[in-house]
Amino acid sequence: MSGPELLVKGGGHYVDDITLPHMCHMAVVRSPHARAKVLSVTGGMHAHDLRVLVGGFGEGARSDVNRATLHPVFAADTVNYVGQPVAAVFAADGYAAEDKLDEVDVAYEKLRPIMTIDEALSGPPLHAGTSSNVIKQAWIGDDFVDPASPVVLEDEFIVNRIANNPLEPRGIVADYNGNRLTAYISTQAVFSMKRGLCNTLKLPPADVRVVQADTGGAFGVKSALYPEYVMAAHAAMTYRRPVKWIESRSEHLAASQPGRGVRAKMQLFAGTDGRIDALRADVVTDAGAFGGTTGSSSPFFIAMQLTGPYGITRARVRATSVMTNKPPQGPYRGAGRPEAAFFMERMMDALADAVGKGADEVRLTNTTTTRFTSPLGLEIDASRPFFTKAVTALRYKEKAGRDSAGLCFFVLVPGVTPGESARIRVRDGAIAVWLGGNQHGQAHGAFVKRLLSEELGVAADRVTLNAGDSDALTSGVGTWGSRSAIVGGAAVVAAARKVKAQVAREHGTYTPDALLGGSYDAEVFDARSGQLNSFGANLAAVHIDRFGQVAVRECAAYYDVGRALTPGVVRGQIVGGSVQGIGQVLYEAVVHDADGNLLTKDLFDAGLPIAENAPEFSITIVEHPSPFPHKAKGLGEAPTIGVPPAVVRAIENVSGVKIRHTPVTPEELIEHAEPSV
Amino acid sequence: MRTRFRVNGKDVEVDVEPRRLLVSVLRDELGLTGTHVGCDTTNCGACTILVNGDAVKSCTMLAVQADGAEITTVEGLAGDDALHPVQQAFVEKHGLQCGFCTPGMVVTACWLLSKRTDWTDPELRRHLTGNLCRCTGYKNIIESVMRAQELLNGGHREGQ
Amino acid sequence: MYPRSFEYFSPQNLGEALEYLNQSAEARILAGGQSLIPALKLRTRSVRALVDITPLKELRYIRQEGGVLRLGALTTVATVATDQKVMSLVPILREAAEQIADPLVRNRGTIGGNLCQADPTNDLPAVMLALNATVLATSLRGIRRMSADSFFVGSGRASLARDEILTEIEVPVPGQRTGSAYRKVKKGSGGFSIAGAATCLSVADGSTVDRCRIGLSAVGPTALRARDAERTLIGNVPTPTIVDRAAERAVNASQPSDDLNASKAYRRTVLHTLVKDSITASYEVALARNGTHANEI
Repeated sequence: MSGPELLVKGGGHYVDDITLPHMCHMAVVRSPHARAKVLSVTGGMHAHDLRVLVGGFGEGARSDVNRATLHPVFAADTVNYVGQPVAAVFAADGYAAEDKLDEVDVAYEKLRPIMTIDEALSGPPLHAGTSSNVIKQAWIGDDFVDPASPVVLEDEFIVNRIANNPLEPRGIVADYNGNRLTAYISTQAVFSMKRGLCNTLKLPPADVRVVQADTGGAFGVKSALYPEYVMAAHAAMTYRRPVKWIESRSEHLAASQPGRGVRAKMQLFAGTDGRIDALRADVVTDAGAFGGTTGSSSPFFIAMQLTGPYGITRARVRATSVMTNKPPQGPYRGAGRPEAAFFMERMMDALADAVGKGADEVRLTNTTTTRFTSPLGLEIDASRPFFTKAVTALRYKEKAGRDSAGLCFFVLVPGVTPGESARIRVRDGAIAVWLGGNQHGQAHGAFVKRLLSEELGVAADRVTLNAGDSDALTSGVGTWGSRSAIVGGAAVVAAARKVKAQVAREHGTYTPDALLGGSYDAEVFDARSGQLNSFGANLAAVHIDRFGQVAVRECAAYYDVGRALTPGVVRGQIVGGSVQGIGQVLYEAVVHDADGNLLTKDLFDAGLPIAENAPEFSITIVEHPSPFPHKAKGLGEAPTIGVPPAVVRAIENVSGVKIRHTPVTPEELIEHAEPSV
Repeated sequence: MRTRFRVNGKDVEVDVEPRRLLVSVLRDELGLTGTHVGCDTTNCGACTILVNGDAVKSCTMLAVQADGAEITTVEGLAGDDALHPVQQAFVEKHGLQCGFCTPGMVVTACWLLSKRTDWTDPELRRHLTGNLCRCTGYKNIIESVMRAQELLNGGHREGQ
Repeated sequence: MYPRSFEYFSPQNLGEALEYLNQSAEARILAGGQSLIPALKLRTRSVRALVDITPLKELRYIRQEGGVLRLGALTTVATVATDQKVMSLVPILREAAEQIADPLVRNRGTIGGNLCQADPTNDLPAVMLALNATVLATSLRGIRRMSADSFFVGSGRASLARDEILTEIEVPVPGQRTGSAYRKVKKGSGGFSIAGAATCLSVADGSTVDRCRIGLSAVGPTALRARDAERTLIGNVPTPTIVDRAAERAVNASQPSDDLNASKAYRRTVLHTLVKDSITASYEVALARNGTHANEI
């Protein structure tokens, strides 16, 4: 990715900046109905020309779902969400392409859409070839007899859908030269894109290359293989012209994969001292209209994390992923982790109230003094030492008293599996690096330079991290799930050690001079499995004005990052993610009406935070080294996990209103009665 | 329709449909891709440029309305190899992550600093409502503009 | 994302613009474009032809003539927000202008455009009602004067004939014993207004309100006058009880909608507070200019 000196001058190379000779532009005809039969399509490229399904490529995506639930590239017999692609048109430029949309005629027969989880669970199946709208349901954790606990708390929570809204919309330029398809994509994962294109278009891997353009933010939404990418590729191959598709913001809001959208019923059994005896939960993800995306795995991933940093020895969760007539659910920074923490931390606060203890005390009571594997499969180190220090460092007691601050304890579960690839090539004194996961603002180049300058003993400015390119590596995974420093870093270090071994074999011993004087090339896939979890805590204080509008006054973080490879970048990630967490609580949601029409149609409706919404930050980074050679732990998603529960509790403390969902509106907080005449 | 204006000190003439937005002409006909399109409802400000010294959203202007105007895009804030103090400050203070909102932020900052060089933090936040960022949480952006203000008021660049 | 095709005419002067409008039944005026161009881009509006009046310098001015401030319709919102004459003579106009959209939109958007769009959530219509402004519409047939009260006829509809261009807004300069204030609430993360209240009042003999106009924004299909509220204040000292009663009556005159952004009930509650605030603030300013202070009464 282009470096900051280039980006400040407008020198970036994003996908919409790419122009190829004879390039044409694609525009997409989209369903205006949430659910309908497609009676006929006249004009444009449509299902008649390409009848394939997408699903199973990208973060959290899975292909072990009923094929009948997979997203068709072009809608065939039915449409299942407003915005679903039905046809594509092509013209010399974007203006003419948009004009051509009017030339496509689609006849629909409207059907009654299913817009809520409850309707989905009780109503008829959306897709032929299925018996219900459940994609998958499973029980996690062994069953147990309800303990005779004196305190039993039950509640239900909803984390509403959020549109990712990176500033740069999605886009692709697909180019076919008769032999090879090259796709330039704004993406988090060139290899997921490559596998997806090969799979859907039945192309041999050698014939497909995916190159990452500078990527203007992603947050999860650019990890999936979208129908539009397949259309553009197919069109490039059909018309033998490069095809560019750049989504509009309206399309992003309507038809990309929003995140969150999860409901949970929680039941805690506890003693009067606040110690939790058992947890039962029922987690349902609204996966939207199709299976195969993150929505299909979301509730299981959430379930696994529900016990958080607490030593809860009995826990059982029913996790269900259901389909509704909404866009398919995808990852949004955190991708299940924020939901899990929200559900558990809300119950912790309720427990504190029920047993009359401080929010910090009841949490610490449940932390562990030894390494612990929860009944749901979550592995954590002893959590008490970290969180005891966190409470002190955050000055929780003082701020709880003075500012009615809220607190959150959480575990960050980075997406370590299956590891990552890295390649190092040394030529003419320059060290070029490729990673399997592709950055989109997290400055991976910075940690790569640091690790390699340490490992190889060379000046950092000899190292360049190149953009993702499926030709440059044999394989790769992707950038998501707070994994890059951990697994990307591990792969880079492993590649560096392989190169050093090459140098040593040639010269008898390794020296930086020998390295820089020669030509070397080493690629590794550093396979990793298992969990490498880390802890974090957040504190937040809010002010609520006469109109019920919340301003976050303070947002404090206490995170273990293992080792801060790039402290400035770490702080930037924490601030950026915190504002996103605030957005989730105060402003952001994807809202459809009962007919399935999107109501949150522009960035203001979507609730993207503005500069005035950002609070004062205080950030404490602790470094308990990880077992990895680079010692780093995960980071990127930590603030989106820890900030919302702390802010919500602060709102509760100040307003006296119990909060069970995000976003919280001013209306819920203002004391209002109809003024009498 | 023929339209003539000056961009980054150079006279240009284009012949475009009246409906073509100024941002499209800057990016496509003139190859100045530093100005970005981030939305279609005039919210995000990624397309901000200077027209006759004022910061405006080039996605909400027709190219033909630029006839006779003096335009500066992010590429034209400083000479070829140099960085404008605002650009310098953004690099120094990590005022960008993915870089997509950055040209708009930098241009708006230049405009604000051309009006006054005594902005406070809250005032800057109020005047950046037309420029959205999803990555940084705005903190480093504000610090960058404050640092640029310092540089313009005679402060020293790092290393001096 | 991009507009449909249209013809485009750039007149050299107002006369040419009016001629063109007269000849072409389907031509529409383009001024700042900060409302029109977004609508064209989303294709919620289409036009056959645009007459671009932005180059017409003769419509950009702010002039004080006797007891009125004359603003050319193409004066940008940014100019109104920073102009010294506006600041000292009609401060409520500046108060409203600096809250419109964002600074970049204000650099292009014009006050004439803001009024002609007659968007229910726009700020300036309510302020013009409170100021008892007059708008001047010019056509080949001459100049027509309309009070702000009669200009805003419906949601998105101003009382402007197809061949007319709004050319000037005439604002009576509030006198010595007057005070004004515009208060509004926006959604927290920016964007549209929930509700707004503009008050202009004058004080007689040190403490009694003798004239009062209140304009409400974003709580009806158009900006609204709160006449019952005004009548509650006129002839009285605005005690907290009286102010509260006036606010109630303003709320009852409003017709807020229930939508994604807020419910009717919330808008009414917010409006009540905003009306109270704008009355109280106006009164304090009037007293201060008059040489007295509220707690002296």
